[in-house]
Amino acid sequence: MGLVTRLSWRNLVRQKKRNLFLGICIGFGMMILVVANSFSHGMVDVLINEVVSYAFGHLVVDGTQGNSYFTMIRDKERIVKIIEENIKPEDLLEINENLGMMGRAVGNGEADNVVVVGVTIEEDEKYFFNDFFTLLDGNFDDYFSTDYEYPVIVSSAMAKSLNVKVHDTIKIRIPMVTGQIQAAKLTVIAIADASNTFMNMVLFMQGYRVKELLGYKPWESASLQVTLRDPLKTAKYYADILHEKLKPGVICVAGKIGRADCQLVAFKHHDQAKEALRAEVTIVAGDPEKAWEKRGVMVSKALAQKLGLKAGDKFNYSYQTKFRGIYEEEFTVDAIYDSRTKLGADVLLVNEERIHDILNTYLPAEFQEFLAEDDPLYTALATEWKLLRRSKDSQELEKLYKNERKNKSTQSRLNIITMYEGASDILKLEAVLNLLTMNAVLILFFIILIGVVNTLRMTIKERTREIGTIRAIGMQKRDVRNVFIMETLFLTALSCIAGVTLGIVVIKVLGAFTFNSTGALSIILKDGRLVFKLAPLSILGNFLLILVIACVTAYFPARHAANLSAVEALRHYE
Amino acid sequence: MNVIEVQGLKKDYPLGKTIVHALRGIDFSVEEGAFLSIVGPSGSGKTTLLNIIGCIDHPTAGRVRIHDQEISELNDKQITDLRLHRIGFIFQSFNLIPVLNVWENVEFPLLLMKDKRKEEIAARVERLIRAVGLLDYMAHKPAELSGGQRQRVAIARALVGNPDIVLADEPTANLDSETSESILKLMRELNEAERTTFIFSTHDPEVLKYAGKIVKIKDGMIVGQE
Repeated sequence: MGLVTRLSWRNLVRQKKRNLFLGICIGFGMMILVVANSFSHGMVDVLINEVVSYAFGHLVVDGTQGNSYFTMIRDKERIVKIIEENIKPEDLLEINENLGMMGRAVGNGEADNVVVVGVTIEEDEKYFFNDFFTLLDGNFDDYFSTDYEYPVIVSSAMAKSLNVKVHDTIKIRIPMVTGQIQAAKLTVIAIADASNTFMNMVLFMQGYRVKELLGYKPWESASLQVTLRDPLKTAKYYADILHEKLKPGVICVAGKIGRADCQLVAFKHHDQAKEALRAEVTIVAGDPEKAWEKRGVMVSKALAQKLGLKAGDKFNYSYQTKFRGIYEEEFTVDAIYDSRTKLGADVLLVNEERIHDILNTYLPAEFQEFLAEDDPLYTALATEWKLLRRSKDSQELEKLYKNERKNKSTQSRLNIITMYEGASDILKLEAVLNLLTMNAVLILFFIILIGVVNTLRMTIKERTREIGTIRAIGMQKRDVRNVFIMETLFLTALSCIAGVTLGIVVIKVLGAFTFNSTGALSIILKDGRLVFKLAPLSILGNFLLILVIACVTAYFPARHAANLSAVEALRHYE
Repeated sequence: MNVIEVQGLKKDYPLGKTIVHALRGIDFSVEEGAFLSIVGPSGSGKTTLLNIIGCIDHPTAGRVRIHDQEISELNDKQITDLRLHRIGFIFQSFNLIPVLNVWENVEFPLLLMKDKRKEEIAARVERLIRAVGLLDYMAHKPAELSGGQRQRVAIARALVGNPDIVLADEPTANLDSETSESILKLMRELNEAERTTFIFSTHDPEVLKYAGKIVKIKDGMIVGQE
């Protein structure tokens, strides 16, 4: 041990009572910091892992259309395949449909608002609910039963609110994707205590049953929730990859008019796109104005000649759908055009607003490649869906959706969101809580450190002759200063370590209590207990910050001590 | 060869609105290996003179040369180094570091030098503690020692760095006559054994019989040398 260190340590031990008192104050401050920090981490962890990740998924592929609040992915199989192909199997835990809708439920003489949530569980995963519920009555196994009409698991709070028991019926009215209102009877098969308050208003039902209720076709899906092994590390990374891989192609559907093969290509319904197309397409017959309108249909000169079509003629276009056999649609030729581009071949050029609804409902078996992304015409042609730009946070996401809902286009939209963007407000809450805690603790520490400074000044006054002696013997000013700084650092560091240890003990004790709360507190409880999550890096950072503050605070009195004149110091008598 | 040369040394202190002339023009020199006593009544300027020679105080006027080095030309760091390597101090009130034991107090200047090996330090400390007769008290703290023992520790500490000069300000003032005699004998023995120059102040005539040379001082001026 160096001389300066040894002197500092011995001096620290020398004034036991005074330093013990100060140490207790610092340790207490550190304990509060650890407890508060762990509490805010734990709270956010509960909100993220128990609420956000289930309500939102680590990563979501969200499909929307028009101004509907329903999420809708028309070709689930295709999107799931893209997800599975682009997320490493070791990082991908599962892909679930986010099936849920708010409705009005009526029990035995009582009514309440409920959220019907579809959770697809296989029979071999029947213990799934044990993680979230404590079964009070009924049997989770009946969740898979076909003997009941829409079997549901109900929280005890909701069962009380609707005045229902196991095997009672709940009548429900719920909106469907089609815009109609669905009425159904649900059978209570289990009543359970929810692990957090958000689950109180949820009625859980098998996913396929909820899809049926809400009017989704089997091949359709609500937004897809991707659960990752390590979302913190991989969610944004995979979101960016999926965003790249989900770039849509141009709408080009191979079909037939009569016996002739043709390709249906859609153009975008906005002025800029139409301008670009007008430069490449010459209307040779028909009504040019009508042709560029919302329901406009144009046939290439080559195709018109082949089929003997004239402007104003009606014809049937048919194509092979993916799930519903052959689909046929009647069109009227608004114009015949000529083009030296690929559009000049056997192409049926249709305004996107005429075709999106048809293609959404009757998904083509295949979309053909028509133009490369770098083709000048590419931006003028409509795509299978609109891929929304990635949002930085929940505000940006909300703004984006708000703008999109104003857009009256019938084109479906896809969006890739991670919970860190979608639930960024909750994550900000953690930052705000930490900041508040840190500020409170810093104020506490500044008060404590004023105590440190005063103590140090007192100590220096008491040791003035000693300072004179060691300076006379030959200790440099810098070393004298360091003796006092190090003494403060020792005191602060040891107190902080004791504070952290005590904080951990307090966390364990507080975490062991069970609260029977159904109020606001229950939001942050898990199984009735407060959740604390130690954040070692954050604590280490705070610890270092406090050491720096202690060092800076001790510096000035220590420098004063070092600058004392040796001869004056030696003359000093208490 | 002169180890110390003092010329025209003056020191004034402000005391309220008046100026106290502690030293009024001192000239003298000290030869290497001397055992010199500065004698004078209280307030005559003995301590001030020793402080200036020991480089812990600055003169108002005049020059002090130690081994031909003009002290006023040195900055604080160099002066601190000079004190560490060339000057040992023995104080009237011993001024040991209370949190360090006997061994550590004696070792203190050597550790400050930072260029000594562990073995060298241990050997030197042990030799000095043996020389002052405190081998059995090595682990004792100053509070556990008598006044005489504390002063012996102070002597060992002053000598451990092998300085050219040891300055002792009234080293026996807080000791009984028997202990004072033993301390002075010890200082004299070490002066002869180590060839270290000793300068000590006293106002006790009994102490003078041990001095090799005596400088008499009164009202800040030298009034005689023997």
